[in-house]
Amino acid sequence: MPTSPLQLLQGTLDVLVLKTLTWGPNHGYGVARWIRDTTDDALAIEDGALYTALHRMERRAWISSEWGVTPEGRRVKQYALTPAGRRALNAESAQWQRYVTAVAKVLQPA
Amino acid sequence: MKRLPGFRRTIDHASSAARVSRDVDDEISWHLDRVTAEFVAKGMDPVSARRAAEQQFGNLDAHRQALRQVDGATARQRRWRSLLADTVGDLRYAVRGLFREPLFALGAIFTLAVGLAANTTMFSVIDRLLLQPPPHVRDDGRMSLVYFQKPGRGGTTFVQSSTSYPDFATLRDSTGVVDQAAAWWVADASLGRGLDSRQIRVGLASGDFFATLGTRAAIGRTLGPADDSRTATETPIVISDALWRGTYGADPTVIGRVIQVSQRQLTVVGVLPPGFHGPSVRRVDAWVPMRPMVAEFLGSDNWETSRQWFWLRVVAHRRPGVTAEMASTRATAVHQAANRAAKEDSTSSVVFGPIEIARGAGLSAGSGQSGLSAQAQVATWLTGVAGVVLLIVCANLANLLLSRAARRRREIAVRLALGVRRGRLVRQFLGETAILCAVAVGVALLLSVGGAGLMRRTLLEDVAWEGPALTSRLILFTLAAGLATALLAGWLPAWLASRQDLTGALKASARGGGQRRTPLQRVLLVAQAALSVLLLCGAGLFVRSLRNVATMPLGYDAQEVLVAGVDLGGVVAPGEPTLQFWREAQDAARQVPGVVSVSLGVTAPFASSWGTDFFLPGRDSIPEITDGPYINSVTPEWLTTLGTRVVRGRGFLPTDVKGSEPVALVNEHMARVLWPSGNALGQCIKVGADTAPCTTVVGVTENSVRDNLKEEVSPQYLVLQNQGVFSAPSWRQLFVRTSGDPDLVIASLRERLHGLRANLPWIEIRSIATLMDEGVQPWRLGATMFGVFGLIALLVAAVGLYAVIGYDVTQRWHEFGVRSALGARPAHLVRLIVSDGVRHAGVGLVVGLVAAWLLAPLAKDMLFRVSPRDVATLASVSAVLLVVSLAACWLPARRASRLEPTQAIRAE
Repeated sequence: MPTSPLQLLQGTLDVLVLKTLTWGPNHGYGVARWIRDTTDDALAIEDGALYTALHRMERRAWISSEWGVTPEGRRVKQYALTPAGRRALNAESAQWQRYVTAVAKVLQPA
Repeated sequence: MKRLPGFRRTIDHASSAARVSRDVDDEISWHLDRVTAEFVAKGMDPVSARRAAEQQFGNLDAHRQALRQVDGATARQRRWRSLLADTVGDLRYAVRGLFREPLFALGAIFTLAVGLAANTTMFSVIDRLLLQPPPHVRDDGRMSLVYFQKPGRGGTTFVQSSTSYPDFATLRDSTGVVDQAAAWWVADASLGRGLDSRQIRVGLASGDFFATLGTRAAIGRTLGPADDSRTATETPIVISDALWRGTYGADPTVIGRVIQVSQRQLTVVGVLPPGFHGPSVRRVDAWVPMRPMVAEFLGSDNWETSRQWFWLRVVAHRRPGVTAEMASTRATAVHQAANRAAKEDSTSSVVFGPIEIARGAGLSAGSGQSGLSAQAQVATWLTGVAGVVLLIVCANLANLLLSRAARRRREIAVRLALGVRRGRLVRQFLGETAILCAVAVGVALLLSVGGAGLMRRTLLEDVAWEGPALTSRLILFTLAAGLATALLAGWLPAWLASRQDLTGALKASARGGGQRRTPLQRVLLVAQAALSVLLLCGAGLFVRSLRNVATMPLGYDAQEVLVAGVDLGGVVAPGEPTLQFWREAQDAARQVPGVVSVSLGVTAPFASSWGTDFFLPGRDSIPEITDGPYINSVTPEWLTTLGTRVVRGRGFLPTDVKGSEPVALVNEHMARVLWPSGNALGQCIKVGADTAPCTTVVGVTENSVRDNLKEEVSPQYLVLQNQGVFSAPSWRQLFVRTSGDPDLVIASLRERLHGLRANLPWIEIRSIATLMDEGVQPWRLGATMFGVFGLIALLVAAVGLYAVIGYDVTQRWHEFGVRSALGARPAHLVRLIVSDGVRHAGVGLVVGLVAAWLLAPLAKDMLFRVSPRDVATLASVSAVLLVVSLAACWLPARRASRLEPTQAIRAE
């Protein structure tokens, strides 16, 4: 039975994107591809929402951006984690871990 | 940032809205292309692959909008951040640059601060005198001081600021243009009795005075129409804040206290707000109602009906919608009709002038008379002068900045070559100027606090001027002046520097001689010198005027002679008791240490004059005498006491007593006018009536100044009190000649005189020099301020010349090295440099002298016995300027002449 894709909790997308960028700078397509591959398409993420998250975090200076040119001559925007972004990621993921632990405790069969 | 492999890096950030859209579109389309390619690789056909990619992206338009919005905000934020960072960077760069050249920075700041301080100080004076309505007087645009303008001789007009009571009443009641009007008059009075008494200035106010001015009391009440009545049982007085604090220790229970003012007991009913002096610039310590108090000061009963006695100043509040011009026209008609009906002079017109008293009647006062008060006139002049100082400072700053920019020519070229935009360079240069000006404004404010304080205490002593020296208006003015200076002086050098030829500057080495002075710099040098000459000429003329005043033969010694007077009314009965008092006063004065000689007189120079009917036997009229003759009735020691010399004949002798032949002394002028053949001695004059017995002229004295330094000498003669020639009123003044410090004598003389009778009011004791002082004040003010400003100008101009020549010398270091290697002697080099600098000063001198020659007649009225085109002054100013510019050029020239050729050529 195919499971329907999980809906994302508010703010979770930011953590995922930041985590992706810890592996190194990447463009939006690369980030989307990485999340999809890593989660085996389990999360229903609109690519548009992903880009919105990227741009918002750029505004908050969690990530920085730079334009580059591909060997074929296409302009591509790539993103990288800033120190502020790394701090945000640590805080967010710690919170996420606490949340998961708490929920797991409740759901664990006694 | 690490790069993805194969990506070239480009430096750019979206800044415009169009760029933001393009970036978002590019990003999305690249993403869709890649996703589409992914699907195609999985075996989908291109069209459905594209559709799948778009579906996976979500609502394309909505996301695109959202991204554009976020990016737009990011771009704006980035722009602000970078502008802020740039500005901070520019300012830090500027500060570092200034620290690298501390002499330049200090010179610029010092000259700027002095120039700004001069202007701030003068602005504070102008602000007090001319721009601000008097404190605590309502300012609704309908207040006017009223003046009366009369046609004078030769088409001129003569402005009278005072008028008679009936004229005031007509203006108030019958003209229909004012809804309130009041009159006032200020007189000296004695506060208290005995040694503790002091002199105060008391304003006599008509009933509506405070209502017209819209002034309320700080404590208690002001005066109203009910107080202005002869039948009131007690007479009220309101006192100034300064008197309340100074004399009554700010005691709120002073209300209701009865105080002694001259001969009257008055009840304090109110304290006025701080700084209130009515519409007057001079201090007024207290106000009393006019009707019950006039007799006290004027000794006259017919003041309410006499149209010939001009003594009241008038302030009016116009009806709504009535302009000053309309009011003047209408009031003039009514005023003239009333005077015609009363068979009086009906040619004078009424002028509704500004409420600021120092502005006088304003422009309508007609030609030749601006109507400004003497202080306001001098202050206006000095403001112009301060403006000129600021111009010189501007020119100097511009010159220093130009030199500095030239020094940094290569640095600028390198930065331009590295891609710094020219606009950014201009901003950096202006930033530097802004820092200089900001520091200078701070220093200037400090200096001007001191300057204004000094002005208040010394030169504008009789202007009532309370309140802080530093107001927000002054700070704003200084900031504005500083900003204007920064822009004026800084903009052009910055712009020129940013436009320089890039390759030329990069190629040029110091060996090429660098950049020589630009034509602009030459013009600035000449302008500075010319303006300094102008100011120095002004200073010279005023100093000469002041010296002429100081060395003018007065006909008596002004410094050593004290004049003592006291109002004996109510304490000593008139007639014989008064004369007795004065005889005792004379004896008492002789006992005071430091007193050399004592005499009594009726009138005193610069204070009072007296004329009486005068006849020569056998003549019906004496047309030779148009003014006077003025008489004084004295005691025999008069000439010794005053220090007046006898030119011909004899002075008074101890043998000239009651019963002996009455004698008189005439002054040289009178002797010459009446007896041109020179036989004045032995002539008979008749004083008081043509039936009077002969008084014989036994001597001729030197001429003396009567009451005005500028007046023509007038005929004056002296008779003796004890010979009964002249039935003068019984009031007297005591003249005391001192040796040593007159101030020490004043205190002990006052003590002695108070010892003669209990309850004497304030005894006024001043030297003739002090009496004269009010007349000398304009010249002293002019000489001091022109002198100070002229010196500042000279100093600034000299610093400018020194800096520019010094810079020149550094630039031509190599050239001088070559010259001296080729055999030029040091003296030759010095001459080369000095002549170049002095040439500029010379051109400036000529321009300045021409300007001074043309402008001089404007200052004519303010000078004293010196031609506005005084050659000696112009010559000495020229000499001073040339010497100073020689010195300013010689210092750097000497450095060049001591140069070792090898050293200079190697130096790069």
